[in-house]
Amino acid sequence: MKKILPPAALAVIVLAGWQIYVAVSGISEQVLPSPVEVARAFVDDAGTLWPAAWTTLSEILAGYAIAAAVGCLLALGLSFSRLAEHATYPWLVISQVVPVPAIAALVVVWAGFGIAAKLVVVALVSFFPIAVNAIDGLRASDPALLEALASLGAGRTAQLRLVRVPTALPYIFSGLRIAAVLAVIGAVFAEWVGSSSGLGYLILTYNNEVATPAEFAAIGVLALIAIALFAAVSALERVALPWRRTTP
Amino acid sequence: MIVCSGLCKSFGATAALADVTLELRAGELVAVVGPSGCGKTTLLRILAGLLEADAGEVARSGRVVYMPQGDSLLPWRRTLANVTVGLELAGVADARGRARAELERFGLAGFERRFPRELSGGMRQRAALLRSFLAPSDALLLDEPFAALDALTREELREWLLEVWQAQRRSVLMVTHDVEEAAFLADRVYVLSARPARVRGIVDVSPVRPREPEQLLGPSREIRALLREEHPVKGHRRASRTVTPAP
Ligand SMILES: Nc1ncnc2c1ncn2[C@@H]1O[C@H](COP(=O)(O)OP(=O)(O)O)[C@@H](O)[C@H]1O
Ligand SMILES: [Mg+2]
Repeated sequence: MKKILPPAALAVIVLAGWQIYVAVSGISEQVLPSPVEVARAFVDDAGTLWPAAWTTLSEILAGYAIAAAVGCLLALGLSFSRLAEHATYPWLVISQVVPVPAIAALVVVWAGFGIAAKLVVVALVSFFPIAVNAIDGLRASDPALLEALASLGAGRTAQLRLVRVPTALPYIFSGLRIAAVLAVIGAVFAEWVGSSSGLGYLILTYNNEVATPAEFAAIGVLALIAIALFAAVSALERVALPWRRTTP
Repeated sequence: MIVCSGLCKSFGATAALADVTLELRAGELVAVVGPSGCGKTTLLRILAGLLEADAGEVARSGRVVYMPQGDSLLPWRRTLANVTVGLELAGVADARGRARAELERFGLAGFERRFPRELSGGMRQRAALLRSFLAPSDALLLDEPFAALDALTREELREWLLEVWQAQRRSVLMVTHDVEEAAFLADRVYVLSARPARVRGIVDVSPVRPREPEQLLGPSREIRALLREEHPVKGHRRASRTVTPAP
């Protein structure tokens, strides 16, 4: 409750300020709709918004799951070979500077306009932070801990299971949190480049029609998806890493 | 149990060990004292087989368990799961049952469900010691086991270590930079020089235990004299004596 109150209060203040500004300035709703108008559009367009939200959400979840699995497995595989890790790591980092729209445009050229292209874009953009964080985490182990365990009889595999993977988990979760936000952005861009459904497509359509209140409503739903995903990852982290939250 | 002779080790241009010869016999409690940074940890890691020496020999008979400086508990495991790691890795059946039987003596009863960060420094250190004692081994190498603790806890733990050692009669080689601690606990104290470490002298302490404070004065004075590079004090043996190989 204490954690929710300040951001909620800020939201109320911002929304109230926004409402007052629109009312006082008399700005057209096609330029800047007031929160009340956005809410009305949200209710009126619910029949269109929810199916679109579901389409986008499934693209995000599937692409994100693929990225998480492949990113972690790749990191695990690379942890067995220093050379392979050294060869790959800088390219992984550099690949993160390729802009998402460029990736999306290319993937549509290769994979067409179906759901596959969206999954690939979402998976690609969320893959990198997960993989890079997992690689970092797998080599962040305390050498003293590894030596202590080695002396107690732990071989390479036992050290991986007992020390290196648990050490990597918090890193992986930060990667997952960054990736959650990127996955949403990736899905929107993929839909912009080639799609006839989903929230990204809807935002673009409303924009062309200058249906600004509806566009705001669609953006709001997208933000809710991102927040929910982020919160879900954080909740999972709390459950998976009980040793990090306890205080006596 | 462990015999080493003429150990030398450098890290690049930093010479850490220059000719260290020592011996740990079965059932002994031996202390190594030296100024900080002189190469004590390096010595233990070599004795444990975790690091290769540049020159010299190490002979071990049986399994050696090394406990690093600072506590090396797994932060993600609760106390009970932490102390059983060695047993688990050795494939010992009923690891938990065996650990539970020792919790009382190690002052950890009632804390088996705590994570390391929920334990006091002294408890963490006792848990790390229990883990080392439980693991099947013939010799224990302890690197400054009490260094991170306050003076009171430290004195308490040193007495407690003595009890545990007397009950188990395990061979223990411990590093410390606390002269009184060495004089209180050890059968024999190796005094090392500043980096690169050589054995400057060996102090034998009378086997009487527990030792009264006034009985510590003599050995402590000898150890201090050796540390300060004063002339050899009557009663200690020179480092150059020959070491008999392990049987
Ligand atoms: N892995 C390492 N790489 C480089 N130098 C090291 C390494 N380990 C120890 N040293 C150096 O060797 C010397 C002895 O270190 P150490 O054995 O840890 O001393 P002590 O345990 O007596 O305090 C120090 O000067 C330290 O900096
Ligand atoms: Mg040290």
